[in-house]
Amino acid sequence: MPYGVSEQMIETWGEMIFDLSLNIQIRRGDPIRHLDFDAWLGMREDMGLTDPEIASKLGLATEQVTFIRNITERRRFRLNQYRKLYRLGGGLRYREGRYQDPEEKFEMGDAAVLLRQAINVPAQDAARYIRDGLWTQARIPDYLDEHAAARADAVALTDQNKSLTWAELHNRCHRLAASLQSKGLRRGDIVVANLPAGINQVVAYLAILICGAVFLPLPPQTNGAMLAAWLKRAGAKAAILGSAQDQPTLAGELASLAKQSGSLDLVIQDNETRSDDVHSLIEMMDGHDDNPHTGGAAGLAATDPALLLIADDNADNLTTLAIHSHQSLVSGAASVEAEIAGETEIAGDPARPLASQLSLTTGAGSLVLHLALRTGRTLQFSQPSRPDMALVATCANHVITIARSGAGDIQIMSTNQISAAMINTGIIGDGATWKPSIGSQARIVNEYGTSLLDGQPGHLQLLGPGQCVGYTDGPTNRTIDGWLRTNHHATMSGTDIQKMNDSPKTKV
Amino acid sequence: MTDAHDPAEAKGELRDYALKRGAARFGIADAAVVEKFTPAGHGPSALLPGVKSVISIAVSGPTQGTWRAPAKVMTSVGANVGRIYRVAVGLSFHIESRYGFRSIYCPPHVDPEFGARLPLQSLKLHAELAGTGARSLAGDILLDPEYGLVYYGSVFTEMPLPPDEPMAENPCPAPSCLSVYKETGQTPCQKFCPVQCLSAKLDDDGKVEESRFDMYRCAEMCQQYENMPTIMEKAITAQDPLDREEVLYGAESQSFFYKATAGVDTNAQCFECMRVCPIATQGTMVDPIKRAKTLRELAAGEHLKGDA
Repeated sequence: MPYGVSEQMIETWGEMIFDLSLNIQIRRGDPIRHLDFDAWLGMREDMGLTDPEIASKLGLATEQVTFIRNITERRRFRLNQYRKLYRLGGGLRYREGRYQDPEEKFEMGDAAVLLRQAINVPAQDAARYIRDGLWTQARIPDYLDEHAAARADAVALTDQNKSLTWAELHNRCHRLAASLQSKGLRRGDIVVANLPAGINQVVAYLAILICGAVFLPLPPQTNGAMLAAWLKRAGAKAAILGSAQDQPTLAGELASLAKQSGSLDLVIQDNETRSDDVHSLIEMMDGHDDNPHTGGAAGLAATDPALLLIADDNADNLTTLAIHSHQSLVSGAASVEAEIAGETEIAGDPARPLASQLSLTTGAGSLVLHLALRTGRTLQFSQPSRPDMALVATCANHVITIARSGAGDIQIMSTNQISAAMINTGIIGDGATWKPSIGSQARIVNEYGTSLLDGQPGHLQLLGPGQCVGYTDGPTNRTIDGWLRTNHHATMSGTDIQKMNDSPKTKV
Repeated sequence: MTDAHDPAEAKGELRDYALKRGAARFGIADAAVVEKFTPAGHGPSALLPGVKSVISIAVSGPTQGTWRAPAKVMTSVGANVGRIYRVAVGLSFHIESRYGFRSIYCPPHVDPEFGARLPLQSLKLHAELAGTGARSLAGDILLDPEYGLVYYGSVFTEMPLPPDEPMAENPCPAPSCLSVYKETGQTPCQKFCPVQCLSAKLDDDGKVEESRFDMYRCAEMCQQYENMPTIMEKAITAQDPLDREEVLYGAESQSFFYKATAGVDTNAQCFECMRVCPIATQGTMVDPIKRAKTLRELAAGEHLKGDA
């Protein structure tokens, strides 16, 4: 006990001593300048007493007062206040309420921290992608801003019932983002959605990215038990569900779950109106929400996870999630951008269910969306109104076939774990020859992982800027040097790859 | 004590000495009056038992270029205390050698008996009573109506000297600040303080009914004596090795250690309240460029010609 002072004594006397000391100085008038001794004497306590003065007032020893004061001061001392000065000067002044401490800026929940810790890109790959301009600072919502400014009235999205221009899409996304932020969605939070492919899924996705949060899309047919399991496993902060018509009891069940859950505290349904515990996605998008809020954009292209996809090629029954950053998603789209030059629209194939084509739940679907976002094309979720103008994309078995209006068909291989890894611009179907897309690499290895010579059949492995940047818990299909193990048997000659058949799944 | 000197003449000679060596203001307070307004143990007699006079020296603040610098640059070069030592320490030797009275340069430091926040002496009190400054709303920083923000030094001497009066008028708050206060409830210095340590209630005439200064908040910017132990403690208790590395080697810790170990710059300064103070930045003698021009004109007699 220094100077006979206990922790209890600090608790008892600390604040009192602090207030009596010079730490808080209250002055009335200007008594010293007026040589008004009596007035000065009358406010001595308010102007701050010395330690001996405080000691005699409180009945403590001076050493005790000094010790208690110093300890109380140090406990109230805030480190790193100096950083408030760093952006001031040159006409810029500090304004209370506008300053955001960097530590608050990067504050994130437990799930977000775990997600960050799961991101792991080999240094040499990251350096190559940056050097070659494949990974840039562009975030996915940046393209929304760009198109809303450059082609505000052009149609961005259409389905059978409605269409949105880029300006309308921008407004809707930002309104939803503001509403989500006002309800507590923070940077790095995970939002699980089981919306069907369509305009609202895209709006929800972009709004979540504007918030700096992470989108985890699940197929719309996901049942309640599976959804609850994913919510728990991902540590999701929010769930966005399909309409009550499609999922009549799910929202209520999840809202109950939210009350008991450590992380889930926001349930939203694609309904026109809200109920007690379930918010209305439509209201939030339309800005009719109770609590409008204009939050700023957050997130960084390099470090912020944006999209989580179920790692469907995983060679194990345990499903993990592939983590995509803004960079991996944008670079995937960028690597095939040149192949659709001249096309104005991208549409789903009317002959196939939409969910399998343009849904964000699949890597192939997300590539189509990001291709449209990056290039400013119209994305049609229904039969093209002008088929001759449309770029029809079909997705099957991780292969997108794009029928170009002015050129031949192309195929792009895009899985949930690697976006736009290979492209085929030649023969479609059996005997097709694939090439790695821009920035991607392929290799053929034997069962021990040793690279094989040209023409020797083996397992196909891929590496590229569109590759997911990490995995959530569980085994992954990535080699120690970062290559993605595919399930394909193939041969390779130069950069030409010929797929033979799927490999039997092997344990990682 | 040597031959008798005329106190008024001696005062004039000491003033000339101080001004010649770089002082902007020179004032004298009666040590007994200072003692009266001082808590026990912190009066001039605690340093010099036979003290008769307290001399307050003020040197001017930063250059106009410095006022316009980014805040982080100003923290480095804004303070202008170097000249105080030259003037005040020199003055203490000068009094002893020329007049034969014991004198001491008053250390502007904390009292080692009580830690980092209790000064040995209040140089502000000396200046206020010697008429070289008046208390502002900005944390009781003293202002000079012409020189604005100044830095103070004090010399105690056993030499009896005619004292000066405190300033007749307090330049703070300036009329423009009072207008802002009436409109927003805050003067500019209060509004733009990064740690919001200032508040006050003014009457319609701008007189201070009550002002509050949370010195402990200001100390987070301007003293930071707790920085080093806080960094060490956080490093010891950090659970995450990355957090430990950040607290020890993060940019701000590194800057702090750089300043502390290299002995360059001041550890901590903040000028944001003064930067928006019209008295501090726009007084007639604040601007060294204008000041030099004025002095040149005075020397050339142009003002006299103009007046004529």
